[in-house]
Order: sequence, then structure tokens, then C-alpha cells
Amino acid sequence: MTKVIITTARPINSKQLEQIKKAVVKKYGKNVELVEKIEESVIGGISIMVGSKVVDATIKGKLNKIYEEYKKNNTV
Amino acid sequence: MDIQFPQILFQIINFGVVLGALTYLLFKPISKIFEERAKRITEGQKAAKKSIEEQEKIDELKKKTKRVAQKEAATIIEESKVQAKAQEDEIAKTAKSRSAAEFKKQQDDWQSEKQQLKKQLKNQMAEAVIQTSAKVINEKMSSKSDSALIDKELSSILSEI
Repeated sequence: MTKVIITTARPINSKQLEQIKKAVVKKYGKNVELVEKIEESVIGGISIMVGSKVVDATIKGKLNKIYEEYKKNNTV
Repeated sequence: MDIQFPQILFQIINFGVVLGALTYLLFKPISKIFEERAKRITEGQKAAKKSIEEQEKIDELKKKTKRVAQKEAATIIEESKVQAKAQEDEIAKTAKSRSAAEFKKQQDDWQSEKQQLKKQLKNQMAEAVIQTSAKVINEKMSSKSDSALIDKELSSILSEI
């Protein structure tokens, strides 16, 4: 069974959940388990983890990405 | 007073005998003594002359030795001066080179430290900006806007998983 963890700051609506489920079943088959996780620290947006793969589109993730990119390019 | 020839003859014979005796007994030994003395004096003069010559030779040798020694001493002193100057120059050069290297290293270290601090400061400022932005966004974010954001991101996220 493939475990899919959906992380958001607030609960997602049923339409969004259905859209995710459809896409996951299409790619990984019917044997999937969807787990909804609420984390206020992500601020907004959504992050989906399938197995070890994570696609992060949360505001916290984007800000972190900006910060890491800045640090990487900060040669003074 | 009459001249008596026999008496005169006797006197002459007597004088001759005395002269012969004196010549034989006194003149010859004295002459011999004088000759020996003259010979000793000559030998003494020769020895003295020889001694003076030897002394002169010794003096000349001494002077020559002294001149050579003085010359050698002067050469040694001159060489020592040259060596000392060369060593002094070398030491000064080494010290200057080390000093310059140390100064450059110090400068490089300061520069590196400065750059590091600048970088840290910029990172801290960026972190503060990110935290402030997160706080502001969090305050402005509503369920509606969050849901709209998720809708916007969802199609691209689902194509990536």
C-alpha cells in the first residue's frame, strides 16, 4: 500500500481531496492510503509526500527555498 | 879621552849580543802575542760582523713576517667585514620577507574574517526578513486565500508526484 501524506495549514476541501486522490490512483494504482496532516507552521499552500518523494508548495517551504537560495548565492 | 877600538868593538859585540838576546827572548814572544791578539781581534770582528749580519737577517725576517702577518690580518678583517655585511644583508632580507609575508597573512586573515562576518550578517538579515515575511503572510492568510493558493498549486504538484 502506498502512503500519501498531505500537509496543509488548514483542512483542504473535498473537491481538492478528490482531485489529489484521482491523480494518485492514476499514478500509483488503487492501493493507496491518503493521510491528511494539519500543521499551522507551514502558513499556507500544500505539501504532498508519496513514499520518500516530497513535493512542497507550502509558503514555509517557498520561504525556506528563497532563504537557502540566498545563502547559496551570498558570496558577499 | 882616547878612542879605544877594542873597547868600541867590545861594545859593538856586546850590543849585538844584547840585541840578539832581546830579539830572541823578548821581541819574538811579544810579536807572537801581538799576532795572536790581532788574530783574535780579527776573528772577533768577523764573528761580530757575522752576528750583526745574522741579526739583520733575523730583523728582516721579523719585519717580513710582521708584514705578512699584518697583510693576512688585514685580509682576514676585510673578508670578515664582507662576510658580516653579506650576513647582515641576508638577515635583513629574510626579516623583511618574513615581515611582508606575515603582514600579508594578517591582512588576508582580517579580510577573510571581515568577509565571513559580512556574510553571516547578511544571512542573519535575510533570515529576519524571511521570518518577518512569514509572520506577515501568516497574519494575512485566510482559509479562503489558502484554499485559492492550494487550487493554484495543486495541478502542478500533482504532475510532479
